[in-house]
Amino acid sequence: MVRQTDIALLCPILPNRIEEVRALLLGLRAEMDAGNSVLFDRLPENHFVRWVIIEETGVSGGPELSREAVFAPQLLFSSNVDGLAEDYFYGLLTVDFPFIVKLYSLCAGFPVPSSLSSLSSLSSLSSLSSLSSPSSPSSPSSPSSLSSPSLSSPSSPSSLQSEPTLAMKQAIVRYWLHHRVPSAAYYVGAVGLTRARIKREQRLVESLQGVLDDMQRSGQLQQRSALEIRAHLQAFVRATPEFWWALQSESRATWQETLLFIGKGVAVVAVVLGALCLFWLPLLLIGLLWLCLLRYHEMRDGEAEIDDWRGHHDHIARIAVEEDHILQNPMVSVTAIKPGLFRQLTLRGVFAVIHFAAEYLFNRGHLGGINSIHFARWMIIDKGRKLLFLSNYDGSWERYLGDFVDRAADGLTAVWSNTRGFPATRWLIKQGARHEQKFKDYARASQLSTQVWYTAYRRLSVSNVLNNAAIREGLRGRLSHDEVTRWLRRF
Amino acid sequence: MSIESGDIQAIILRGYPRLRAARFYLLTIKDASAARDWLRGVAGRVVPFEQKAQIEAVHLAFTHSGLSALGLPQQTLDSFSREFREGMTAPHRRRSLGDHGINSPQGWQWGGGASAHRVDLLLMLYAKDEAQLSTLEHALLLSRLSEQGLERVGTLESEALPNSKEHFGFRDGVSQPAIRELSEPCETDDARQVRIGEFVLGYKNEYGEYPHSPTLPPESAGYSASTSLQDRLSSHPIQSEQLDFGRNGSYLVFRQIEQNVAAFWRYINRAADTVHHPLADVDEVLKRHWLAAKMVGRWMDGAPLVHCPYQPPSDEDPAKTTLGRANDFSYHKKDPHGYLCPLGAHIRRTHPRDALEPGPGTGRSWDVNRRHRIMRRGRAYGKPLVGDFDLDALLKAEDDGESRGLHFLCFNANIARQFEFIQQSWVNNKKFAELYNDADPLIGDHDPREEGGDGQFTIQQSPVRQRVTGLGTLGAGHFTRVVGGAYFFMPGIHALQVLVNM
Repeated sequence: MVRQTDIALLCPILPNRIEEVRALLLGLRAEMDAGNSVLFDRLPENHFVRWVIIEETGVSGGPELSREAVFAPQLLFSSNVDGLAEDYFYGLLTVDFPFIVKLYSLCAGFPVPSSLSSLSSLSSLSSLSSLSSPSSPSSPSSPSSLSSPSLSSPSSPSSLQSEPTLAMKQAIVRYWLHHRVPSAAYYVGAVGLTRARIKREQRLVESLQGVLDDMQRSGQLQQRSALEIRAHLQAFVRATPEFWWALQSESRATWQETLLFIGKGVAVVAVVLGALCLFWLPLLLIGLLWLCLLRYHEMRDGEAEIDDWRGHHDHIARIAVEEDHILQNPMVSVTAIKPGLFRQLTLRGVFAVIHFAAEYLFNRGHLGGINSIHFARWMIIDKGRKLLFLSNYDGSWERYLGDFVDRAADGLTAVWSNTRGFPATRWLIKQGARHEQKFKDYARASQLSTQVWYTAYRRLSVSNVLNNAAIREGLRGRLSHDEVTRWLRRF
Repeated sequence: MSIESGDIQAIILRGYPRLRAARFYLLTIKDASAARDWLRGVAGRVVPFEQKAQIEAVHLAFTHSGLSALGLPQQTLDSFSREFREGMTAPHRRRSLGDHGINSPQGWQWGGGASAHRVDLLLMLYAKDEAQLSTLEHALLLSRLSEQGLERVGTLESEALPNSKEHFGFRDGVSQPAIRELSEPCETDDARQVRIGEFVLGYKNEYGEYPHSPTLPPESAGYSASTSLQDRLSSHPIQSEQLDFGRNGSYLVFRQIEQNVAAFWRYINRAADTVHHPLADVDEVLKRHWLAAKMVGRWMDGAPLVHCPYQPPSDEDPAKTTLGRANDFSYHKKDPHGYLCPLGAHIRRTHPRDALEPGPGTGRSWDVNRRHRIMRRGRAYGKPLVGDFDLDALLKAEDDGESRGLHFLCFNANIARQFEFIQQSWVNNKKFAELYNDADPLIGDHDPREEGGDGQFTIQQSPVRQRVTGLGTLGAGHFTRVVGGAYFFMPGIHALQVLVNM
């Protein structure tokens, strides 16, 4: 089974270069909006991608972000990809090397000769337009730079338009790997479904719906039984070479992977239970101590009060302007973790549980009852001082956050009650997000703008993706009458 | 907490079915001082909930610009909800409400970008008949508005249609939220009773919390009246050092929705040829009624499909007899897959009852449903295309070029979580109930410019679904079109007294 790898790169932006970064990203966004950039379409393995400038928001009344020690602006790149991060990085460099260099030479420590930085004055769009027309003459290869052995050797600006050296690419990949941030917890809505599979299964289902439409028009739907309708759809697939792949199993996991998966789960549970049996007394004492400390902290902690409503509303308006252009929406939230070892340890413990739950319990398209999340993850950044949350979800913000409150309040309170300004919480999971308006105000205040955002299947909800996969699976094998009835409900 | 029925404007909690005549005035404030003088007189006639209006009723509501023009302090203006402050036509709100294309505010008759005058206040007049309404207008000096420092942006007429119909011919307003604090305790209906804080500020809502409410500083410059501010307003439930300006008030959503009745039935005529009624030998008129009922979720007389899936009830049928029965159903147990009432039908999206996650069929599902209710107070306008809503005649009717539709009005305490949520996440959401490309078949945004925006409606059935398409590509044939709208705030009567004495 192909794993959807969570990639996040956090690179500090050079002092005073942040506006150049912003201009480059917004330029790319404009190109993408206009349909001129195929940067991420060219990378067949990415699902959702984004570039975000993480800086102090300075939202007054927000969850005390502005009172934190100055946090150097960072460039966040995040992507969910089928396969390995390294392969994806090389792909990215192959598809648009000039843009990448232009963007990342504005970040600290980027391994590119300083003489190349003069290139930043070039229009970012020139490199992008060369992408949309691959045959354009702006991508000749220059042998001199190919043979250039050393990255620090002076190069002419034109070498950027030429084939980059392998050594350059390796250096950049090393740089990225060095700046990669691990997820503290990671959730995937459609586990194991590659982007290519998601897209071809959508084509399949659209065609099958068309077959049903034809049957409806000719009056056949009324006369056929469930089994006959399924047989008709199967016959269509068998007669359509384009869809022959659908008749083969694209199993979610090999038996070795399944064994490993189960083994790992059993091992974790065994270790936890074993520890509980062997060391029940010390663990009980530690647990009681933790509960006392928890209540002590919770009674001491304050919650954010918004005193500048106009500033708060203006901030929300800046975020909302990027929302609801298509079915799916991105969310980026940065919050300040409450100081002290207690909250650090508690938060990491909560993430360990969520991470395990996401893999073993919530692997059927819902996270704690929420079925509209394609990918979501939490990361602890800034030397443990901040919590970064990224997600790609279906539908409106109001519904997403409403689902948080109505369905998953325990889990998210357990996470965010460890951050500053969160609504008053009891026993780690009680109240908190159930203060609906305070929680939504808190969440809005923590959000950042997303400068570049890409989705590979903009018209599909998580439910659609999973339903398509189930329709495809149901084309094969012998099904009972009840199973066929249930299968046909999926159309 | 007891309900302060002397302070709540009655229209929030009462629909005045007996006051059949109604007219709405949209006004701009030209001279605040003169307008305040006139408003002081009008405010004295505003009907509180404790009174039962038998003959006539007056109500007042304001837009954000209206409150500003009357001199409410900036801090108070800033403390209203974001939706109300930004207004209905903010660019991102147009996307979520579906106000683009033919619904774009640029083409609105009032409240939109192109209309010449901003709307500051809404005067709502109700009376038992037209004669009484004229008398009331005369008493309020409405013929001499300019002397009162006001300018009229529009006068919206209304039309009382027979049998509580709306213009397409369906009975409307069957399901209204029952307010828990005003209802007799009743075991069976407990799950449906909604707390008053969902509709009136100053009371606990369905999360057990006080809705956000605008604040007024206790020492507000400009306020001049013999009664002190503190005697008029109570302290704010959250910021106790402030006065609660919003208490007993409510947010009023007003959308003027034009209905193209001929286009609707023309579509039904055409689409009916592509679908099959589950029973054999059904006549063509019943088949068309059935398709339209599938889209609405009720037959034209209001009987829900969950009770009568194949044909409208006969006169003896108990499903027809009472309003209570027409609202007495839920989805999950009887119809989890939408075989009776389609998953995407108008009434199943706008009020999903117990069909939603988490726990469809359980109290948890109702809990979520109760957080997205609105108190509808709409009135139809324009003469019906076919006087008696005879289906045969409707199916044959040509458009007569007259304008008709619905003045959609609803009250809620949180516009974002109630009205806007219903509009965006249920009505316009093509992925509602895990569907693919189905917006509300009646009023949804089937934007044909969007890729795949052809607009379809899926009719779930055994063994497999039927569907109709082309809801988005009818050209000008959207069945409904928004032609005006704004967000208003309807203050409590004490807050109104404060406002007109600012």
